[in-house]
Amino acid sequence: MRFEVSIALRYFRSGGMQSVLTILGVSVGVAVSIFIACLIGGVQEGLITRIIGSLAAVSLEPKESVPRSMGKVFSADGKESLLLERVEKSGQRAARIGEWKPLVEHLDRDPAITVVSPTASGAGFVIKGNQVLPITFRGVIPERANKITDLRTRMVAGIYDVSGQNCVVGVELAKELGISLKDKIRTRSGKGVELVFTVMGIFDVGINEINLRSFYVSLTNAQRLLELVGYINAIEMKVLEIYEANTIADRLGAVTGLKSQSWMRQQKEFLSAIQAQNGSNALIRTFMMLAVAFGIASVLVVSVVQKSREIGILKSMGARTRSIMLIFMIQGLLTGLIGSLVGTAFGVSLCWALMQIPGDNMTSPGQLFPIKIIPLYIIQAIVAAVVVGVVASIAPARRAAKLDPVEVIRYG
Amino acid sequence: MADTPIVQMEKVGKVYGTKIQTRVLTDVTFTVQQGEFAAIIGPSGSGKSTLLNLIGALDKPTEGAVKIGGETLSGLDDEGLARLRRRYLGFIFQFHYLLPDFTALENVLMPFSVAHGAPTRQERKEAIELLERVGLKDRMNNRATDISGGQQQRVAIARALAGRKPLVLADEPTGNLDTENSNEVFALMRDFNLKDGTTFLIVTHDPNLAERTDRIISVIDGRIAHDVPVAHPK
Ligand SMILES: Nc1ncnc2c1ncn2[C@@H]1O[C@H](COP(=O)(O)OP(=O)(O)OP(=O)(O)O)[C@@H](O)[C@H]1O
Ligand SMILES: [Mg+2]
Repeated sequence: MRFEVSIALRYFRSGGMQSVLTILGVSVGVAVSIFIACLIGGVQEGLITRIIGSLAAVSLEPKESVPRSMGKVFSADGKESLLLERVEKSGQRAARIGEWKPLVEHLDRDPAITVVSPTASGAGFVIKGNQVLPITFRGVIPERANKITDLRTRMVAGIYDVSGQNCVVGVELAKELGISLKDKIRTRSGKGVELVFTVMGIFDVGINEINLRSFYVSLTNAQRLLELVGYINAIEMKVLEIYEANTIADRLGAVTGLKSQSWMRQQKEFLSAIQAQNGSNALIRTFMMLAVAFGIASVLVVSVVQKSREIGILKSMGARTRSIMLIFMIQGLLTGLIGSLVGTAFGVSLCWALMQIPGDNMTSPGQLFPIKIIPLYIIQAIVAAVVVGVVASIAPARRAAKLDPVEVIRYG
Repeated sequence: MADTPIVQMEKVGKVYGTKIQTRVLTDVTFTVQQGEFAAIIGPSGSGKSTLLNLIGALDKPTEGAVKIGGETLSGLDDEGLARLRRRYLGFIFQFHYLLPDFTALENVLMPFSVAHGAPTRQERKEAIELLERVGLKDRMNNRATDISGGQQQRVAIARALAGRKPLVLADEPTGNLDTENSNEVFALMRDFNLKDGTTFLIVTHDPNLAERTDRIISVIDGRIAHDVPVAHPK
């Protein structure tokens, strides 16, 4: 072991109460920093799951203006070939995507994309007695669509079943029309096609618009209603990194020639709210670390004064400037390290304890507080405290290195 | 080796302060040969400690040249001076200044650690031998603050000698000790001088101790007043 380390360790130990208090100070800073980060992170993650969670992160739609021979089409083996008649548009016909199966298969293989759900959606009406309500048909492949908006876990009545002539509807629509389970309801699409569905389930996704308008049926039925047999009109996707959505959308748009959407562009206000939260989170944590830095620095300045005799002796033995500085910088490092570990224990325990309090909040069901323990924030807090410890020790260390041995030996 | 004096002082002067200037040393010239055992005496404030600090490369002269082992100190930067101290110099101070958080043995090993990190096994052996010679082998694992003042000063002697330093500078090493301990510390220094050829420069107020050295340099008002050998009746 280097002697600078062993001297630093001895000073640390002989510091007693002084060392303990400094470590406690750092711990409190780190604990608060972790707590705030996990609270804000928890709220945010909850909001994201709630708001973005039931929406597609990226989606592809037909582009009205796309020239017929541009873009690419993917065959099942993943090779790209020219897009031909992918997007068709004629006078009264809705824009649509043909040849979508190979495209879906290709997207399935894209490592940045986690879920791919082809859908056929379009406007229509529900007719019950003399009531007519506008709705949006959502034709989906359930196993795929469920990974985007998990309706199965949000059913308030019945089951999620859109096979055959079955459908599921939102609570608001059910309320509006007085629909109950197993009711048969007549629907008509904008194209004039009529179909009768049996209501198998009623869902609540927490967003009024969807609860009132979305009418889930099988992809086949939607295609029939919307005169899209063999076609779809959107591909909805989830991605691995939600903040990469713009990049992924742009990439897919360029490669497929389709119009691409990203949640980040569609939910601008939500996104800027999230960014404001991130900003205040960063600000709070920065100030916590500044406080930690001043704490460590001031204790080390005192320590340099206390140890000035010994520094003088070490210098008389020919200790290098670097060695003297190291002794104090190692103390800063140790304070930061031990303090951050103790602080992590505090912070995580506090988060954990609060997470055990039962109750309900907007974003995390079953918990009173919307806290989530996020390892990245913990690692960040530890690294920050260690770096801050070392940086804060530089000034006191230089002071120690500059001490005049004659002065301290003469006057002790 | 014997040709180059270990210490050469050539017209050395020292002035403290810039605005209010205090002249502390004037025209100090003398040489010390390897193996000498000399006392520096003089009234309080005459400049003895200043002189010793200049020789110890802890302070810089205002005029003249200080040479240690033939090397001129004014030509060296801070790291050069530190290197020179590691190579040539051991210090013993009045207030024995051991590192209180370390054991006696660790204190004696400190010059090795400072020089190159962890001490070798050979160096450990040397340190234990030194502690044995100052009669403290059985106390070597005691904390420096857990032994008596006289014992601490003996540890300081062992520390000054660790690494076979050719020159030991002692500033009132017995100033804080009773007669018995003073005699013992003095005898130890003499022993190292005779057996190992270590050069000692000892600042002292005690005329009896000064008489037992081989040479007395007396400083009055920052000048060398006398520089005389001591005749020892055989
Ligand atoms: N940094 C300084 N600035 C100004 N004057 C100083 C400084 N250091 C020492 N002096 C003065 O230099 C003179 C010599 O001091 P020095 O310590 O060398 O004397 P000394 O002979 O060792 O005295 P003592 O026997 O009391 O230890 C004293 O008058 C002292 O006040
Ligand atoms: Mg003095």
